[in-house]
Amino acid sequence: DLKAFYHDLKASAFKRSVADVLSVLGMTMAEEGSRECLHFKLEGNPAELGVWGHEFIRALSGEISQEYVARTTATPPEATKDLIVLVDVIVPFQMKHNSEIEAVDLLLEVNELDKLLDYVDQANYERVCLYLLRFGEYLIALEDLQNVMGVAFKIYFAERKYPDALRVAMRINDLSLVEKAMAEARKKDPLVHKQMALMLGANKYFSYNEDDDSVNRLISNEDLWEHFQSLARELNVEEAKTPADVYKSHLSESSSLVREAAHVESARQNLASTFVNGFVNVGFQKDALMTPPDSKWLYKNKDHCMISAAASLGMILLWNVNEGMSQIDKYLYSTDFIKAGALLALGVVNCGVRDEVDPALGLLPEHLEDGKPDSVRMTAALGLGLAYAGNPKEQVAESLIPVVADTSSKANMEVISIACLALGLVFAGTANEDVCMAIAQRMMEASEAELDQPIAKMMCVGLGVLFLGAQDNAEATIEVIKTVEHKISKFAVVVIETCAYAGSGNVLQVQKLMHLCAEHLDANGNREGEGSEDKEAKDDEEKQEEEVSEEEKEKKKQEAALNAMHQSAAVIGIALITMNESIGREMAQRTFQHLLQYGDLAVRRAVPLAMAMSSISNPEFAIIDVLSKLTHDADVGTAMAAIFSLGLIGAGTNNSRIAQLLRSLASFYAKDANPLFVVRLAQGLLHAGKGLVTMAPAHSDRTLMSYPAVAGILAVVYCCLDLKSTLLAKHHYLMYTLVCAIRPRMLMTLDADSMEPVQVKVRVGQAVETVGQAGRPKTITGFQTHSTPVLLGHSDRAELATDEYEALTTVLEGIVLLKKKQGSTAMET
Amino acid sequence: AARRLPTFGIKLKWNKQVFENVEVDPSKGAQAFKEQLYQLTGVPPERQKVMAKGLWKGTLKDDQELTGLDWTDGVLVAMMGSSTGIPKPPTEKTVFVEDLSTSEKQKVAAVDPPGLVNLGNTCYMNATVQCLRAVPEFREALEVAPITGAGGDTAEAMTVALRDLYKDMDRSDEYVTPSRFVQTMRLTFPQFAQTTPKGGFAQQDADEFFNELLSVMSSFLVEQGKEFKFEGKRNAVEALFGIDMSTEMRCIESDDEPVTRGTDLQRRLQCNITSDTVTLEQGIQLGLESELEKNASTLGRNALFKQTRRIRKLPKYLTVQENRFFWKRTPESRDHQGVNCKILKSVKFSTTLDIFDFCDEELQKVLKGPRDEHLRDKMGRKQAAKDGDAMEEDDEELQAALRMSMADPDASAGIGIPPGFRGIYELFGVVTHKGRASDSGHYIGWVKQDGKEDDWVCFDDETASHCKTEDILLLSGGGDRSMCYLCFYRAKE
Repeated sequence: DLKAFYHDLKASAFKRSVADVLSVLGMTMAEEGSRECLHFKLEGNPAELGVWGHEFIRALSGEISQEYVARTTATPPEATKDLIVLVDVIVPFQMKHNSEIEAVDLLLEVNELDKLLDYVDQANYERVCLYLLRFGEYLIALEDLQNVMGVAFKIYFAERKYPDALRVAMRINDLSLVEKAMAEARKKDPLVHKQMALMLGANKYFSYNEDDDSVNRLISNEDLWEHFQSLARELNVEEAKTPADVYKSHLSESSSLVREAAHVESARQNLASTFVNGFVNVGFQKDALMTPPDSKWLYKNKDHCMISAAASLGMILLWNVNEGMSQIDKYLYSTDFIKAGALLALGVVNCGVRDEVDPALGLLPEHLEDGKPDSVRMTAALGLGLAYAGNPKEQVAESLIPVVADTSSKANMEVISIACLALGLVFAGTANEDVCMAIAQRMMEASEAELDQPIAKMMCVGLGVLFLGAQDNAEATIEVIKTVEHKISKFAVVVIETCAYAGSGNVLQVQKLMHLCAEHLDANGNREGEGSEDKEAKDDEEKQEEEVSEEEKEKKKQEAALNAMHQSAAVIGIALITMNESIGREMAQRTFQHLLQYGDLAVRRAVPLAMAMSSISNPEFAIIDVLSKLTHDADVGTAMAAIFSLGLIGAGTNNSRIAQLLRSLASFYAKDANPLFVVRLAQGLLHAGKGLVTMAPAHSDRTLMSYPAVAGILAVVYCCLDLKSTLLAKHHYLMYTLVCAIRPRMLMTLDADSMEPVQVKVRVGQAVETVGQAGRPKTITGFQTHSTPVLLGHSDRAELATDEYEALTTVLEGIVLLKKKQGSTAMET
Repeated sequence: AARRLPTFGIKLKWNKQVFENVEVDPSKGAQAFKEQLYQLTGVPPERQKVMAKGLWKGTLKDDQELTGLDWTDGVLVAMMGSSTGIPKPPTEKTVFVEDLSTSEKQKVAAVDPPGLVNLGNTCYMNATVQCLRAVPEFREALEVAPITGAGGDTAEAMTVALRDLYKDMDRSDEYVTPSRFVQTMRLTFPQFAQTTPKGGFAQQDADEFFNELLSVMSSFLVEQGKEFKFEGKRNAVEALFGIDMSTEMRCIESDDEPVTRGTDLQRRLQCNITSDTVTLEQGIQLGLESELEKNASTLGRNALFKQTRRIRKLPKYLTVQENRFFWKRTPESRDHQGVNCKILKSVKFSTTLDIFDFCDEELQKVLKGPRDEHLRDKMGRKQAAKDGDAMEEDDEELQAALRMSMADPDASAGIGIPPGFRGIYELFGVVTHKGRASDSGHYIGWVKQDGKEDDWVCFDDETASHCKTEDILLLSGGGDRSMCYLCFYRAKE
C-alpha cells in the first residue's frame, strides 16, 4: 500500500510530497497514538501547511504536543528542534485564522510562549491576552504564572496598552514591570499615565513612587474621600444613618424588642451600635452619634468598649487624613481607653491612603514604648498596621518588631499578638524576612501560658498573611513553626500554608486540607486511636463519660473544638485557596456541604465562615440559603459564625433578603445578648457605607486580589472561630481590621484634562466570560444604562454607552479618566 | 564679621490648610517654633504634634535641637492638633444594664419579667400570681410576715412558698418553675389537686384560687409593713383588698317590714352579666343588688327582699370579678345534672373605673369634695376663655357644693387611699380566660408595666411578651378569644 510504496521511494521532492499526503491521511487512518500524521509531516514539506486545511493543522498540533512531551520525558531527552520548526509554521497560520487560542495552547505545550510576541498584532492581541490571563488561574507553579503573565505584559506593552500591562504587572506583584509600564506611559501619554496612577492607588500599590507630586497624589488616594463624598451627593445618601435606621426594629413582627425603648443603656448593645454606626457611615465624614459637637455617645460605652467607640471616629472620617486627624486629636488627652481608641482611629483614618508626611508613623510609635499602658500600646500597634496596610515601610517594621521581640516577664501577649497582626497587615504578601523572623522567633520563645491565650492565634494570622501568595516560599518558615511545642503550631502551619496558596486554586493543597478536615480527633486534639492510652483505659474513660452531666459533655465538646482549631483553619484555607477562580470555588462550595454533614464541631463551625470568605460582598442566593439554615444551629458558635457570615457576604450591598433574615434573627435572639450582638454586627456590615462600598478582595474585573484586604478579612474570620474570647470579649476592636478591605464600589468618570467629574452614560450588567469566543462577543448581559457615577455589583461590568468619550483604561472600575474622542465635538456642532 | 544664621521658608500643612513660605529660624529652638505655629494656627503648643519627614523622628519634642537639621526652603512640615476643647465626660455616669442585678433590671424593664412554667394545668394559678406580684404592699406583707419556721401551719407554708417564689422571680431573667409553690398549694387546697379521669391535674377556677389563697394567707399576714398600715383591719389582706360594704335589706312585698342595715367585708366586687349588660359598671351595679326570700316578721311568712349593697370604705386595691361561669341545670338531659357554662358576651371595660355610684352616701360625701374641685378646675380652665360673669355664678354654686361636701374634711375614703381621691381607679392587672367552661380553656395574666403609660406584659405561662393598652381593651370578650375574668384596679392619685 501507500506506506510501503513510500518507504521504497528514494529521497526526493516527490517522496516528500508523498509524505505530505500520507500525513493528511494519517490524520484519520492512523492508529490511535501512533502519531503518524506528525511522523510523515516531519519527513515531508514543512511549509505551506495551511493548504491542507484547518482540521489538519489541529490534528498536527495535537500530535506535536504529544510528541514533545514524549521526547522531553524520555531518558535521555531527545532533541525537539524539528518540532519547533513545525510550530513556527503552524502558529502564524493559526494566529491569522482566528484560532489564537490553539496557537497559545501549542506554544504553551512546547514551552515557547515567548514566540507569541512575534505573531500578535492589533487584531488579535486582546483575545490572546485575555486567554493568557484566564489561563493563569489554572497554573499551579508560581514560576509558570510569572512566565505567562510576563508574556501577557510584553504583548500589552508592545501594543501600547499600558494600563492593561500595569494590571498584569500588579497581578504578579512585579515592581520592575510596574516601573517599566509607568515610565513608558509617562513618555507616551501623560493622560494614560494619570489613569495608571489612579489604578496603582486603587490597588494600594504604595511602594511605587513618582517624582511628580501631582501623580503621587493620585497614587496616594488623597482625594478618594472627596470622590466618595460626591458619589454620596449624587446618589443622595449624604444624610447620616443611625443604628436604629439599620435595625428597623419596628418592622420585625415580635414586639419583644420594645425594651430598647427602656431608658437603660446596655454596654453590649451600645457597643454593637457603635460598630453599626461606624461601618454604616464609613467615609461619609459625618454621623449622628460621634461627630456632632458635644456628643456624649462615647461615654455611653463602658470601659474597654470605649476603645472601639473612639476608634469608630476613624471609620466615619476614613480617607480624610488631614481633617480627620484634627477631629480625632481632642480625644488624645483623655483616659487610657479613650486615648487608646483615638490612636486606633488615627490608624483607621489613614488606611488606604498614603500621606506624604506619614502622620501615623510620626505619631503612633511613641505610644508603643515600654511603660505606656498596654491598651494604648496595643491600639497604637494595630493603628500602625491599619495605616500602613499594604504599604510595607521599613520604619513600620522598625517600630513594631521591638514590641514583638519583648520577652520580659511583663510582656503582654495581647500587645504582642496585635503587633504581629499589624506587621502581617503591613507586609501582607511580601514574605519580608525580618518580619517573618521576628514573629517566628517570638513564637518559639513564647511560654506555654502565653500561647494558650486565645489572642495568640492572631500571631499565627499575622505570620500567615505575610506569605499571602508566596506559595513554596513559605516552606522554610513552616518548618520552623513546626518545631514549636504547642498545639498552636498545628494551627499556625495550616494558616501559613493556606495563606501562601491563597487564590492559587491549587488542587493538591485543597486535597491535603480536605484530608485534614476528615480526621476525627479526640478531645486532646490527637488522632483517634493514636493516643498513648490503650484500649482499656479508653473504655474506662468512656464509662466515666457516661456519668458526667450533659453540661460537662457540652463543655468538653467546646474544648475539643478549640483544640482542633487547625481543622477549622483548614476549612477556611480551602475557601482561601479557591476564592479567586470560579470552578474551584464552586467545587469548594460543594465540599463545604459535605463537611457540614460529616465534620466535627471544629469543622462545622468554620464552614459558614469559609463560605463567607469565598463570597465576600457577593450575596449569592445559594450561599444565603445555607447560611440562613445554620443561623439556628444547635451549636451557638456555629450559629453565630453563620450570622456573621451573612454580614460578610452581604457587606456593603444592602441586600434586602439578608436584611430581612437578620431582622428576624434579631427578634429570635432578642433575649440572648451574644447572638444578638453578632446579629447587630452583621447588620452593620450589610449596610456598610450605606451600600456604597464593597469588601471583596478581588477587583479590577476580578483579576487582581488585594492582599491587605484578604489579610484584614482573615483576621476577623479567624476571630469568629472563637467569638466568645475575641469579638464578644474585649478584642472587639479587631473588627476594624475589616477597614483594609473597604473600598467604594463605584464607577466614577473624570475628565482626563481637568480632572473634573463628567457625567456620561454607561451600561452596567452582569459580566460575561468571553475567553476563547469567536468574533466580538458581548461582554455584559442584562444591562441597564445609567449615568455616572454609578454603583457596581460584585459580578457587574460596565461599558461606555457614548461615542463622545473614550476611556483611558479597559476595565471600568473605580475612578476612570475619559478623553473626548477626536471629531466627536465636530459631530455635536 | 558676624555670620547671620539662615532662616527657611517652610510649607506648613495643618488640618485642611496649607501655609506657604512660613519663615523658620532654626536657631531659636523648638519651643519658639511651636510658639510661632501657635500664632499662626491657634493650636496651643502642648497640643501641637509637629512632624517633618527627614528632619526629625516622630513628633517634635521641646528639647529637639533644630539647627543642624536638613532644612531646605519649601520643606514640608505637617502639624496635627486642634484648639477645640477637650470633651469632658458627662457628670452623670451612665448606668449600664450589665451592672444591674436581675431585680433592678426588671424594675427598669430592661429584661422581660419572668414567666411561670405550667405544671399541669396551673395556668389559673400562674395568671393570678403574676397579677398579685404587681402589688408592692402585698409583697411587703409577705416579707414582714412572722415566720416561725415551725411548720405544720398551712397559712405559714403558703406564705413562705409564695414569698420564695417571688424572690426567685426577682432573680430570674427567663422563667421560673414554681414547683414548690404548686406542691404546697395542692397540699393546702386539696380541691386544686383534683385529677381528671385521664390522670392529669384538672383545670381550676382562677377566682376560686384567688379567694382561697387570700383567705388562707389572711390569717398569717398580720404584721404591718412600712408602706401600709392596718388602721383597724386585722390583716394585710383586709387592709389592701377588703371592701367595707354597707347592706340594706328592704322587703319588696311590704313597706311595713323594717329595713335592716348592716355591714359586710368583701374581697372583690362582682360583675353580674345579663343580656342587657354592656359595660363593667352596669354589671357591678347589678352585682350590688340582689333579691332573696326570707322570713318577714311583719308578714309572718317568707317574702321577697331586696338587698342593696354599697361601698362604705374603699380599699387601695379593688378587684372585680366578672361572673362569667354558671351551672346550667339540664333536667331534660340523660343524667339530669347540668353543664358548666360560660357567658362569652362582651363586657366593655376601660382602663379607669369610677366607683362613685357604688358608694354609700357617707363615702360619696367624702369623695365629692375632690371631685367637685377637679370639675371646677376643668370648668375654670374652660371658662377662662369665656367671660367672667358666668364664672362667678358657677363658682358660687360650686362653692356651695364644696362647703357641703367638706363637712368632714378628715373623713378618709379608706386605708391607703391618697387624700383628694376622686373615686377613680386604674386598671393594672387582668386575668383572662379563654375557652367555654371554667374547668377547661386557658388563663393568661396581663400586668401593666411599672411607670409606663401604655406598656403591658402578657404572661402566658412561661412566656412573657409585650403589648399595649389597646390590646388589653380587646379582652372585653365576645367570641372565643381570651376574655377578662378578674380585673385588678388600684386607686389613682
